[in-house]
Amino acid sequence: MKRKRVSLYIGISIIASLLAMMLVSLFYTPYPVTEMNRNERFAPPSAKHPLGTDNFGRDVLSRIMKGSQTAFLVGLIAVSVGGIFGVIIGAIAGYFGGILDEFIMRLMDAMMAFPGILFALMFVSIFGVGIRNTIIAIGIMSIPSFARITRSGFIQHKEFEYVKNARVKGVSNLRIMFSHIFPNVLSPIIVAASMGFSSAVLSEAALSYLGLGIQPPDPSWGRMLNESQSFIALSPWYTIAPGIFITLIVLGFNFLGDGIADLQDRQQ
Amino acid sequence: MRRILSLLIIFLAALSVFSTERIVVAVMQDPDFLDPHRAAASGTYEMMFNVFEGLLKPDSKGNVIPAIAESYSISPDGLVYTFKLREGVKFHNGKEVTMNDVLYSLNRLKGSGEVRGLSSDFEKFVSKIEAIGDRTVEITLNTLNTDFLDKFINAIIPADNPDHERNPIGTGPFKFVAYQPGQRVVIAKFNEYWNPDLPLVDEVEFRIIPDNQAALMSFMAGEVQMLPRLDAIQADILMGKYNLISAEQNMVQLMAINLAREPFDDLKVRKAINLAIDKEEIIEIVANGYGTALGSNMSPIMERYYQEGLEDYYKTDVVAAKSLLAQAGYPEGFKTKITVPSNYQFHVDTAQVIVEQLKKVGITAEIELIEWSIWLDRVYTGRDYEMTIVGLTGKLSAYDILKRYLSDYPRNFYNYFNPRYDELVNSAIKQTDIDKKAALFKQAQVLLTEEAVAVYIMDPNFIVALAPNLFGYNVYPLYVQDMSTLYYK
Amino acid sequence: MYIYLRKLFAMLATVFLVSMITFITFEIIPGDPVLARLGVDADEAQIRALSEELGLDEPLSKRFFGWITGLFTGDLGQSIRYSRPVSELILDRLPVTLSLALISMALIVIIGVPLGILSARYGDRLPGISISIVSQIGMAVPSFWTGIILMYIFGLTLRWVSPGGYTPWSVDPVEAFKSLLLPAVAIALPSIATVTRYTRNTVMEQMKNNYVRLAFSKGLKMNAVLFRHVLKNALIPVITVLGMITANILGGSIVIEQVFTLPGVGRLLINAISVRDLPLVQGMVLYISLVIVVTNFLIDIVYTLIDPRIKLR
Repeated sequence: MKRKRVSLYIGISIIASLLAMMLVSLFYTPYPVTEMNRNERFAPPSAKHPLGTDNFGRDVLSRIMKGSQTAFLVGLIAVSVGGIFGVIIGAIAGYFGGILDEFIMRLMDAMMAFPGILFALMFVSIFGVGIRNTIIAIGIMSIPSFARITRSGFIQHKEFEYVKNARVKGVSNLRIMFSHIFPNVLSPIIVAASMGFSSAVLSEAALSYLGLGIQPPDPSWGRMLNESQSFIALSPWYTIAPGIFITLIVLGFNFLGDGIADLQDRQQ
Repeated sequence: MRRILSLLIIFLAALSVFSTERIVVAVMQDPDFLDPHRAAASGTYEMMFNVFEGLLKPDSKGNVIPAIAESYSISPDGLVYTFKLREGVKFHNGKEVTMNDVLYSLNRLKGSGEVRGLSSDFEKFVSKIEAIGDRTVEITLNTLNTDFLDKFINAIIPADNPDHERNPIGTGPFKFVAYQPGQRVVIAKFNEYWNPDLPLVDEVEFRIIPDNQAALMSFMAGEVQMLPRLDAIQADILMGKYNLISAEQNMVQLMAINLAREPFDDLKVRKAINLAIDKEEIIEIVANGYGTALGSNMSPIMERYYQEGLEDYYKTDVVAAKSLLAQAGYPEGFKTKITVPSNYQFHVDTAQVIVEQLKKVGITAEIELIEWSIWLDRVYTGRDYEMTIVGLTGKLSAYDILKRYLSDYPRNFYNYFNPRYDELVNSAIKQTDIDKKAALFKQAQVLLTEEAVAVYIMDPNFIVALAPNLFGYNVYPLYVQDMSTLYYK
Repeated sequence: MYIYLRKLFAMLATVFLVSMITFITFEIIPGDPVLARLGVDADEAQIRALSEELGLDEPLSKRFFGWITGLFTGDLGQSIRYSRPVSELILDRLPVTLSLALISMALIVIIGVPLGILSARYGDRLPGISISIVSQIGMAVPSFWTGIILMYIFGLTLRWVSPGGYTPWSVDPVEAFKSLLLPAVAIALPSIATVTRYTRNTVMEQMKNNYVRLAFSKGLKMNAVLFRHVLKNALIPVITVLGMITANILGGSIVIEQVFTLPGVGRLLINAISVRDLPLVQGMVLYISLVIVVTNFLIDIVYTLIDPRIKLR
């Protein structure tokens, strides 16, 4: 019994720590995030700069702390947008089938077939660069995967006995969908949500290559990872730090997702 | 018996691979056109410089020397250029260069009859192209332009080549072999080059590696023997272990200011901005010290035409800057945007430093990153920006460098309209006396500085890394890689 | 029969829709392909010559339907940036992307699925949990970070493979494989982890069902239960994920191709977008959307094969 909760506990501890760091960063960072120091560039970790400095002499720890704000924002909002819309769309498609399903899946296919980068570029060109539009674009890009996974779950469960029973009993479709089927399908959706979180954080990093997304000098872990690659030989700290933190936050949400799914299972 | 024969063939084949001397050079972009008259990008000339030649060609000092022409003369009034063709110059297809080819090429640039030309300079300035006999050609200008000599480095190509783009043929030390888009351009030694001493290697591959890090790793692994355009960090990594050659690259990096926008139409504001910016700090942080501070739109490598001392005109002075801003009506400073093309990390980094420097005088600048093609569209063509950062590559002719600020220049995105400036630059090319000409160009530079038209930041050094056994590299004040003098030892 | 025709029509409709959206997108977003190609040093005469040649003034609908009719003869148009047929440019890049996809998918399926089943079989015991944790970490690590580090270690430090070099299969198969191995691993690693987790999850889900308890009570052993009953149901979501991953990789792993400078489809697309080369983008979007649409179709067919209760819809 206790073993099942391990994932949950690990997930919660990681996320809580990162969340704490983020909350602290709202009020305090060891150094101003954009302050440059020409004499202390590429410094290795020391008492003065626990994570070293970057090519501008800026304190990496402070930038990581500020970057956590971006990470949470991008990940959570993008996944929420994609998740809510995606699940609703996928549930409708999978449950009702027929022409509605066809139409929705065509649309989802088209969205998935449309290269994400091109979509993000178009979106940002029309609506402007910046963090808000980046998040919306990434959110929209993740709708099809949620839809597809939800749909496959609904297709499967639709044929199961308990659903057929409920229908015979006269339970309304809406109720069947969200009280009966949805909890069973939740597990893969939660896994999808944690996948979505990590891909959102990574999409932001990829978009940083194109200059979309977070505008400098604001730090985002993805952007820091990209910038740091040019001098990996001179100062690996700048590459390692954001990479580790991205891994951590993704790990945290994955464990959290697992933990919740496990909880869900046991309730059944 | 058969076995021995096949082994022998394999052995010989392997031997030929070893005896072919190749150099692999890492370049960052594809050529825009292989057809030399249609090619505009400096990245293209960087490679194709080795394949094509004109009547003249540039040398590593920034002068032009005879190539397909063996000698030339200019009439005393400066309007007539006479070239005597060199004997026995061959195209890469083995045929000799004839007057017909020369006329064809020059007319293609100028345009003839219904067909418009491919060079604005030829269209605008050339009135007549005439052959005198079959070894001498005379080009007459319609107005005096003493910088026009440089234009004769434009390629001479065969009149009977049906496709200059898919099958480029020139007279250079190397001939074109292959182009795989996104991957490589390969050129090979031309055995019948008119200078029998060159080139020294058999084959050159320009490998297209847009990613800096990948290029560095390829070089360190020995896959690439020449890495031009190192950034400062890479230079530090390679320092001591490899041959590095560093020189000014005749580039002007500047922060352009849109003079048509408030508050930048006010001279005081522009001066304040110039006073707030510490160029040495930018050079140190962004270029690791590998850069030369500038004061106007000209690099010191253009010795003859360079106005010295301007880089100290606006010595960094936060107090003076603030006072000027207050005088202009902005005691609390103001908010602005610096638009930067996202693909040039160097400019992005520069912007980040500038933002911090402007903060000190109360100017809050936000960085706006946009894609290169959007930058070209919105900033360069549409002139819709407040401040932006750009690097202008070097040219042989001072006129070409300074003409961007002329009132009638179609891409004068600075929105600088000053008849006095126009007068200085336009009369400079009417001067046949070199010293007078230089003086006029210098005055033009002083004007740009005094009027704080932009913030002239630096000429970032050009740094190239060579494999340990590669020698003979010459630095040009132009965006070219001269592969003909390189050799292995 | 009718169902397959409907499917075919649906696939074509999707591809058509995507192509049309791409066309319209390029009308809306700013950026001039002529200047993007020629750059800041362009001579006005050259700009004029290229603009005239490209005929970009013609109305949108005319250009779009011209492109569609060209498709029937296999003509994808001429690239604005490279002045070469689009089909030639794409075919040039396909071998790399296809080989990469093949090797990656092989790694993913061969390692990911069995590992997931194993992990589920030993569920709450040590092997199960440790695989689960390792796969968690594998999924969390950003793939291009992995790529750079792999390249640094194996390419630069150990010199087992050559960084930034790709040798075509036709020139030297062994070298070709070597140059694709590291990128394939970088691509595969997070996906292996994902598939492992997914498989573990779905198998463990299935194991909770009544029919499983029934099977055990009838005296069937674990392996029999697994392979005869459970996997059938469990693999369905797994196939969905595998399908999505395949389609993704076939569409060109843009970032990994960049890190290892592989001449694949992904990099070509990015370049084409940044220089506004509409014909080239159009051609590649066509390729990518076809891949995705066809893969989804194949997934649907596999569904019906595995579980007869699910009809092809």
